[in-house]
Formats: sequence, C-alpha cells, structure tokens
Amino acid sequence: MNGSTTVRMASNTAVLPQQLTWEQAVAQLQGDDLQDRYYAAWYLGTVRDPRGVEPLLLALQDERDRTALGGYPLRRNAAKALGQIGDVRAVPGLIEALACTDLHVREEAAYALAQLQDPRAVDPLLALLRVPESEQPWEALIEALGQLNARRAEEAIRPFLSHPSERVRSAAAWVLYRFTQAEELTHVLTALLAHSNSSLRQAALFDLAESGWVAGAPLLAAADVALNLRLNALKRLFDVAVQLGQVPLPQVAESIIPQLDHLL
Amino acid sequence: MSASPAAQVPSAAVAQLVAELEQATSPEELLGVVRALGALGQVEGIPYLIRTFGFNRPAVGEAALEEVLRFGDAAVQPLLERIDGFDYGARAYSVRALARIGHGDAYPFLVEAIVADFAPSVRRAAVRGLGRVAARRPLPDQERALELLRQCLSDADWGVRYAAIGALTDLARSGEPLLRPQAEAGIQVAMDDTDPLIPLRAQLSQQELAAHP
Repeated sequence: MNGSTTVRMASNTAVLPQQLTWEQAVAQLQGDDLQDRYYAAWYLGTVRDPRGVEPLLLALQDERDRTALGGYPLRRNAAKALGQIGDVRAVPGLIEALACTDLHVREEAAYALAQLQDPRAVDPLLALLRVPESEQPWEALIEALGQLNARRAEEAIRPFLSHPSERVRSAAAWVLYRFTQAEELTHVLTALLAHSNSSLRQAALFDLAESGWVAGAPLLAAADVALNLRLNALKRLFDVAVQLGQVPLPQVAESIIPQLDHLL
Repeated sequence: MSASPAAQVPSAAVAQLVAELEQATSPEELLGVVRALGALGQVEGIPYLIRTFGFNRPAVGEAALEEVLRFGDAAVQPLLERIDGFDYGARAYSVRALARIGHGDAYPFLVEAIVADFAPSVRRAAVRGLGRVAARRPLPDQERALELLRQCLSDADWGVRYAAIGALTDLARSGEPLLRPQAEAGIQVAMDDTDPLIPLRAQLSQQELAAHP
C-alpha cells in the first residue's frame, strides 16, 4: 500500500467503513464487544452474502445488547441486514421479531419482510395493524403491506387516512392508491408535497413515487426538494409504474421523460 | 471612458433588489426578488441570481436557473467564475445553466466535472450539456466528447447514461457532420440497456434524429 493512501485512510477512520472479511464480521457479531457486534450486523447487511443469514438470525434473538429503555439495538440492525441480504430463510425469524417488545425492532422487521417479498408475512403484518389501541410502527406496517401488494389489507389500512401523523396518512394514501387508483388519494400526497416542513415534503416525494401515479410526475419535478431527490423520485415512479403495469408503457414514458429532460 | 465601472457597480435598480434579497426571509419573498432580477435583464444582476443557487431552497434555485437562462451567452462567464467548489447542490444548478446555454467556453469545465466530480447531480448535468457545448468546439474536442459520452453509456448511474443519450443527440444534430454516424451508433448502444428507461429515451432520440436528417 502506498503512503498517501495510508494517510488518507487514517484521517478518515471515523467515516470510512472498516474493511472486514466476511469471516471477521461473523466473528465480531458473535464476540463480546457490543459496539463491534452492532457494527458487524450492519456490515453483513451491506455485503449481502447469504451466509450471513444464520448468524444474523441468532443476533435477532440477542438478549445482551439493551438500551436503558429496554430496546434491542443489535436486533434492529440484524433485522435490517436480513432485509438487505434478501434471503427468504429469514422470513420465520423476522415474523417472530414482529412480536418483539421494542417498536423499532418491529419496524425494521416489517421493512425487511417487505424486501423479502414473501406472502407469509402478510397475515402477521395485518394482525398488528388491526390492534389500534397498541403502539405500532404504523408507517412501516402499511408500507410493507403495500410493497407486498396485499390487497386484502385495504380495509384495515383505510382508517389510517385520518391518522394524526402526516407520514402515516401519506403511507396509507400511496398504498391505497396502488390498490385502487382512486383519484382522491392523490390529494393527500400533493398536500404533503407542499408542506412547510422540508422533511415531510421529501417523504411525500417518495410516497408519490411509490404510488405509481404517473400523472403526478410534473408535481415531483416541481417540488421544493433537492434536485437529486426529485430525479431519483421520478426514476422510482417510472420503475413502480413499469412494475405495476397498469399504465401502458408509452404513456408512462410520455409522462415522465419530459420531466427528467427538464431537470437534467 | 472606462467600461469597467458599469460591469462592477450594480445599477440603482439592481442594488435595490440585492438589498431586498438580503432581507428576504420567506421563500415567496426570495422568489419575487429572483423574478424581478431576471425581468430587469441587467447583467449586473446575474451574480446575485447565481448566489441563490446556494440558498438550499430548490424552488428558488429552479426559478433563478430560469432567469439566468434568459441571459444566454452573457451568463457563461459569470457562471464559470462563480462555480461553488464546496456546495454540490449549488454547483449542480450552475452546471445545468451552462449545459442549457451550450457555450463552447464551458467545455473544459464540463469535461472535468464528468471525470472528477463526486456529486451525481453535477455529473448528470455536465454529461447532459457536453454534446451541445462540444458542438461549438473544434473537431478534436468533439471527438473527445464523443468518446467520453460513449463511456458514459456504461456508467453505473442511470442518470449519467440517460443524460448521455440527450448529449449524443445534440452532438449528432449540431456537431461535425462526419461524427454523426458515431453519435448515432452510441444511441443505438443505449437501446440494449437493461434498465427499460434508457432504451425508451434512446428511441425518442432516434425518432427526433430521423425527423431531422
């Protein structure tokens, strides 16, 4: 290794990911240092090697890494990594994690199950959504059901259109739009896209993309959100519309390409 | 008589708007001043429009971009002199302006941005402008641009590949006629891209070029 590289890496150790082999990461995950274990779980998710599934499933049942409030940080990272690896062997373990007392573990498990695209996840997710008096990661549950294309969740999701949280309402709107293509749902999304809070505008931008509402492309292009995010949201809208196949491809292209051309 | 004071000292009208720009707090006020600076049509206002690219208000940036474009070639030097080396968000708006104006002086800067900038939004914009800008340069630069654009067709970033198609189209239409077959061949390569968006865009370009033989 030449000297200048060494210096550059040394000055950046706080931000550069530590390079581990897969074996080192698994050893760290099973070691005693809580910080190393947490990092190793994240790392295994980024390398996406399916051999990571088994050690991560063990980490998903960890009892040692606890926060003062009773949270399970390692389990959260393990759930996330299992979603990134994308191996369906993780489905039963992630479904079990939906019963964890830590809301953030349930949230990460819901998103991971959405990524694994396995229909076995639908009923357990739907069951959580139907316990309104409990505190649940509503946005994650609704979005996961949307990504799993679980049309039978429609009636359970509908009440969330009047939820006090904007983000939950917006999630319900994009999922229901995918299911029904009902025009009035787009009003929820466009209202949030004009919100004074920039992080809500940003969330609405990607919710609109997820909805697959191709006629909304000009609104994405004109939103008061950073340029790269608008471009990426337009691309995501294109990908979703192609995947859903409800709008003919020439019409998708006609709605989205002029907006991309305008921003580039 | 010296010409420089007129270029450096803003007119009373520009100075008035600049003062308003300093005091504006809401996005609506900022937009109003940006539109007024553009409508005034005085080149002394261009640097202040460019400054708003860095305000981190995308709606203001888009409006300022439109207003800068009204100045056409007169905006090229002010843009090149004020590229923001730190804020890539601001830099992307400057590069978009240079890409749209398509003046040959932007060529070295765009090439450097494509090769070396880390920010996807900057690279995409630079790629998009390269065909238009290179078409106003001597043949060797056009050849270099063609080569770069063909490399961009296999870039990992979909936005770079997408932008390269538009740039190759510009080069095919406005560049040296003997390079047109190679530019068209590049667009044909994009027809085989595995991302369905890319062939769709390439198809539009082919239709456009067929209509302007």
